[in-house]
Amino acid sequence: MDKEQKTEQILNSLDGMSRAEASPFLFTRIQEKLKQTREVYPGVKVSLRTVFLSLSGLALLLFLNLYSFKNTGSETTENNMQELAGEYGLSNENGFYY
Amino acid sequence: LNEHELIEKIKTGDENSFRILFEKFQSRIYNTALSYLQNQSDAEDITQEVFIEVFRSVQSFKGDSSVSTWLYRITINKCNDLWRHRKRKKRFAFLTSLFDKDSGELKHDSPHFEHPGIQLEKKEEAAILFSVIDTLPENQKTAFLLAQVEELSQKEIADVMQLSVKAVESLIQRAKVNLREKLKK
Repeated sequence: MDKEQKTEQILNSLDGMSRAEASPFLFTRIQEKLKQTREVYPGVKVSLRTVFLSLSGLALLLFLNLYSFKNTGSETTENNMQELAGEYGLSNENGFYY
Repeated sequence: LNEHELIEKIKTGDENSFRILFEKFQSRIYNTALSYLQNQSDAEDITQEVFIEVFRSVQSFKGDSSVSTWLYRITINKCNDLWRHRKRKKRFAFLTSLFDKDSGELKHDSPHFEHPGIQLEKKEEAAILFSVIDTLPENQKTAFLLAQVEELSQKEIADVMQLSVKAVESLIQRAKVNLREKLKK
């Protein structure tokens, strides 16, 4: 047999090959691996309703915080300062304050 | 159930559908990995990794391609990664110990691969062909194996490799020319 023929024979050696079989326990191995990595099936995920309620609650809390912050800002601070100055006798009238 | 219905069911957490998908595709995935990596244990590991990846990323599968294309793509990517890793390991073999202490055999070189699905009278030739296929550039090797072993059409290979049909045609052609040249030496 010449080289050309031998080459063709090698190139055609995959013709008619059948499929190889994997281990019958492969799926069990996959299930085990998924359990090990503590995966949950996608359907067991947190529902959209829970996510929506949590986000709404968070937004409401944030809004209330901002609202109260805005309304009690500089006025309260000034009152507190005047009260403190009065307590220690440091008011504008006796000239010690400022 | 068709492929896309199966995927939709898996998205809702149906474990039985995941098993059906596995039964339907495991042979293709395993055989692609086997001819690519030429090692049964590696091929099983890759098959396992492919299905775990499918499970993890099923929510992001939009159905733009067919399920088999998606699965073949994941398989090829994983095989390429492992193949590159192995090549790097072989290069570093010269820096580490080349031979196994006990058996005295070359540690980093894979033994001659015999595919269990090859007809008995062709086993010797197929082993030679597989060893030469392993020396082809990555893209040529992928295109050639998907065409020859998996018998995918050029259009299907183009979808898996995200190339044009013309590019795939050229890759297969070059792979055959390369194989011929290497075999004649």
